[in-house]
Amino acid sequence: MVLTTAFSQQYKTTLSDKRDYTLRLTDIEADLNISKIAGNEILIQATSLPETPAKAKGLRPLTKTGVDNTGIGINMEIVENMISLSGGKTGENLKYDIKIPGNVSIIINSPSYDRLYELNLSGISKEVEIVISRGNIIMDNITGPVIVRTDKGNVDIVFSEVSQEGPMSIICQSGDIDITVPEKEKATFKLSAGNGDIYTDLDIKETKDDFHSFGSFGYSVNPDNQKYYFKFDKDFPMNNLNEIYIPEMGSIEVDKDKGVLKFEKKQGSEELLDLAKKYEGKLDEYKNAEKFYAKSLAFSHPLYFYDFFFYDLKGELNDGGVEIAVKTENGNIYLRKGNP
Amino acid sequence: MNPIPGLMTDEKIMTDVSQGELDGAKILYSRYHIKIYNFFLRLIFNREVSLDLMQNVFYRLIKYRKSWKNDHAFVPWIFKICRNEYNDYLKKEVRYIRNAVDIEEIKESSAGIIIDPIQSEKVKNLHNALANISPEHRKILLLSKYMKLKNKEIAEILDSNENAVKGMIFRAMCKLREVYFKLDKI
Amino acid sequence: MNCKDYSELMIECFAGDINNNVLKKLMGHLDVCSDCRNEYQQLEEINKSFDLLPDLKLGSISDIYQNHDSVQELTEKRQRRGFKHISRKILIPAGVAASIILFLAGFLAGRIQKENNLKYQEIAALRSEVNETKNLMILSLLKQQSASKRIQAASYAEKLEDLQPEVMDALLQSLNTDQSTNVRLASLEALSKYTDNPFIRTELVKAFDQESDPVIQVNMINLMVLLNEKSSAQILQRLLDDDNTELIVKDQARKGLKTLL
Repeated sequence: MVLTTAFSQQYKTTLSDKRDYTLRLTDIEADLNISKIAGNEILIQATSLPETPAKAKGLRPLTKTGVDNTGIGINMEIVENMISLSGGKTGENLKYDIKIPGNVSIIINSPSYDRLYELNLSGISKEVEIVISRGNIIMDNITGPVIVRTDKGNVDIVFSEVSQEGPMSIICQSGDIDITVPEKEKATFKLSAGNGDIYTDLDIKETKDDFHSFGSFGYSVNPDNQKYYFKFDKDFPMNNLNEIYIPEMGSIEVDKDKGVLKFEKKQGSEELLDLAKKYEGKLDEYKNAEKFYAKSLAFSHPLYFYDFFFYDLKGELNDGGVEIAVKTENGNIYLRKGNP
Repeated sequence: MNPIPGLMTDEKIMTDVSQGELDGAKILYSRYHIKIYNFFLRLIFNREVSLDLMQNVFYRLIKYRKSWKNDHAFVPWIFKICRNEYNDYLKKEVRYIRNAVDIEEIKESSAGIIIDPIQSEKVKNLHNALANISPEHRKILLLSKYMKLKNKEIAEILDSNENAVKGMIFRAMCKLREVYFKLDKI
Repeated sequence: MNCKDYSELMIECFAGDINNNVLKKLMGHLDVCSDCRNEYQQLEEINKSFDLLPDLKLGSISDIYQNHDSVQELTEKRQRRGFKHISRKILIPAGVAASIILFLAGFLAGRIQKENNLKYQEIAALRSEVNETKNLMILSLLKQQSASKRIQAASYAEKLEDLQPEVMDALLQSLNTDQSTNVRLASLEALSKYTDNPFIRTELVKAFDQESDPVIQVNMINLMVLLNEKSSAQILQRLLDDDNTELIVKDQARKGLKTLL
């Protein structure tokens, strides 16, 4: 069904099923306004659609993947639950207003176009995935999950609530990321602003897991029988016991290429190894215990310092929830409380 | 990185750390963590908290490694971090309480390690005296007498100047002497 | 100079902050002033005491007499906590595999509450079953249409204790070929946890060699420096020499090269 009006053109389609659909927009070189409406129809309105030249009379317009079967410069195909739209027209002012029902998630995929996009999404309560090169993205009244990747431009997101359905990831190569989250929502943030700063008025509690494995524990000596005992910190992550670093162990040599070590044992260290073996309970033979212990002194440090390299800050809002990774290599991050 | 850790200065290691080579952080840890732990321990008299603070210092060392400049001296720099940790702890003091059990235990442990009974007694007295002066005085004395830092270094750590530091040490020592020997107020 | 001034001098003397002339003057005064002499001796004792202060070890002497049982107790306590940890995280359904995990988690939680002295071997066996199912779930999630679910797969993989070969391969594949950079970054983060495995290290370097997305490149450079992976130096050099490399990548490559070499 095609409706034409004086300055804009419309296309409408009805979704026959109650299932969850995904609307995928590929290579559409136009600005987009996407919002939710009740019902089971997708309504697309085009503004400033470039005129069809007279020479094209009688010819079919083609889009990047097929024929323009909507009359508004878009090819549309529905296969199972996937509604694929691909674009054909280009125009500086070209804009599509898309209204979708609540059971539709969105994928916008236009990574290769130079266009400075203006994308506006509003009221979407399903997953949103956007990949563009340049442009600004504004999302309002959404729940997520949100997955965004841009090269250049700002991203503004206002959550009405934070969906716990699955992790989120917002990555800009260059641009600011501004996210508003209602105070009471649960989330675990992983934030990284290279060449930039992070600002927030939310009560985010920084998490420092795995740091204790950096060798903070003690030992003590029983003067009667020269045994060594381990005492570990309360929160020592035993599941990932990869490293036991004992400062009093004499000299420790590490051969990084081979991954392990020679170390000079001190008197009584057989008991020490014995204990390490017993403590772990994994090894039957003393010989293996030595290897395990030696290995655990090796440089497995990336495991513990990884947090510092991928993200500047990892923190929990309201004791944590779904993971939201926010990364900009060149810009600032703003995390705000929503208005109550 | 030089494969023989013993030959590397703290400053050289920290420079490497600031540029991404975190292996060195372990060497710095092994060189300083006991001293820093003891500094906090004798300042706050709480083992659990001191352990926490000491760990935080090294956490910050790694996290803020990029704020390290090559022309700094390492010891004042890491003690500035200690000072910041201590100040943050003070703000939350309602959570951390001076642990009376720990005060006794630290005293006994310190004295217990020393074989000569006269010296052992002296250490007990010092411990008691330290426990009875203000944290501010205690802090400056620990920096000067326990960590053996120079006035210049202490001035840098406290964002002050050498003369002021001299004055602080003087007043703190007077107080300590008074308490140590149970003198009447001078 | 009065006695108060000499007091100050004494303290500076003990700090080693005094020159010979002033020291002589001080000694001269001490010869004649018994109060000051007394004070000097007291300061001397205090300073000696400071010198005697030992460096206490972390942990307290009361631990000396702890027996092996408490160490054993500690192990079990932590493993039990480990299980609660698992059951809390597995809340997101994703196909059949998930329902198996939910069942297992519930089953485990029930068992643990009833029997507080599960033997270590039993714990280990149950643990490996849960691990098995988690691996399956990760494989299934990686094939989902939803980018969020694929990231979820990588997150789960990150927290496993060891990766089965299929999962390892799937993660590497995800790093190299997933359509979404966000997913690829999540896979990189997960894989970085297993870099003590030399195979994974080699594969990461290979992936780095072929990477063209600037954000992933920057993060990979950081990882290579962290791992002190010298074989990546030639890749860094190539990136620097190539005009097409993004500025942020070049900056990072430059810093990385300096540190690696």
